[in-house]
Amino acid sequence: MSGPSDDLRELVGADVPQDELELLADADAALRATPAPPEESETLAKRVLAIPGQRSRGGDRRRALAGLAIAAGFAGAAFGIGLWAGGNGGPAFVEEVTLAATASAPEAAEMTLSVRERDDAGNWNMSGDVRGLPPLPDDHYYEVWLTKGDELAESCGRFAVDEDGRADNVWLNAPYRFSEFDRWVAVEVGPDGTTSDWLLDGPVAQRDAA
Amino acid sequence: MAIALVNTGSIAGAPFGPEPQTSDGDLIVKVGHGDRIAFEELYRRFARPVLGLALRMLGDHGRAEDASQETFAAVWRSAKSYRPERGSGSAWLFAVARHAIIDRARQRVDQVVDEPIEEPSAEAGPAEAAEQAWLAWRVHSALERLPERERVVLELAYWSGLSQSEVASYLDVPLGTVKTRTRAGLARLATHLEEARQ
Repeated sequence: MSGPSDDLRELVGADVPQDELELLADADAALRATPAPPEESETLAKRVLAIPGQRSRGGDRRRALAGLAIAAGFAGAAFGIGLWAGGNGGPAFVEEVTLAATASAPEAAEMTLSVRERDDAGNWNMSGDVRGLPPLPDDHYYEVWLTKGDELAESCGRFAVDEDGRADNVWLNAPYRFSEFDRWVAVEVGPDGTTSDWLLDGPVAQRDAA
Repeated sequence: MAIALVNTGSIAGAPFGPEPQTSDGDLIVKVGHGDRIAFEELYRRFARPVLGLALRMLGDHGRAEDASQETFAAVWRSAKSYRPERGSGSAWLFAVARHAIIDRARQRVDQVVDEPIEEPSAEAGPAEAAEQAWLAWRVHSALERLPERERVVLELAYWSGLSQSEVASYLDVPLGTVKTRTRAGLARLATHLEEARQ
């Protein structure tokens, strides 16, 4: 056992033209610099390929909002907190938060964030619908954060908007305890990682029980 | 349906031809419309790149598989937000995977992880580690797009420790065939790596 020869010509044949050899050398170098890919297990394949057949945790957004409205009627919740039976038969909180435009964003900009039930790993799954944010250059993106005081504390995901300023069903998640944070915000992030002023802003409900 | 043709025509006399294949971006768009077949194809292409990235960052196979599952769940849920004009499908998947893996790293209740572990780059800085992870992602995902006969030869040649003669013996093919497949596989790989960089 000796591995690949250091001489690329020996690997691919002596008749390969020089210009082609230079192209092949790039791929050869990339392979040598990279560890072997792992083999996925059959178990993982089964778990992943079953995903499309699973109802999303907490149901789809329409279902969540319907549950939200019913529960809000019972509880008289002012902020849109609902309690309904989740997919596993147990109770699950659902929260809908509106992130409104700050002075740094167009007045009509808004994000509706639907926080779904917490999964077994303690992860809050969320989806968001965005309206009214300006489209960004290719190397910029929007990012949703939880804040502490005046600081961006934890990222919950990124999104882009289309030419109409919309993004539907943006998937986000947050493996954090909400009670440790103050606000939801969205900012623009540039190619060097710099963030804009807060563009969208909404309150965090102090609930971690689900 | 948009079809991406693998550009292999730039090398005169190269012993392989173009191979039609749906682009990663087109697959993601289809997944965004609920296409399960496209999701399965996306998994076939990216299962090993995602798992490889998760292993680099988490260092534990069980947790890496969990993170891989979460990555594909995120893909299924968020594919609608993918915009082809903003970048390649592979780059979008890399971002989704990295985010899911970082989330998994942070979920350890007994160990707060500010930055994920990148095993092969213990001596590298964050920028270099990120570059290594991105290179590995591109190489692993490009390999999945090669014809099986070429992919197998490259993986045996570069990662099994076998010489080409031993690869030929193992596959029960002539040594010349191994060289031909290595040449074709490297050329195709170079093309895919260049595409993924864009």
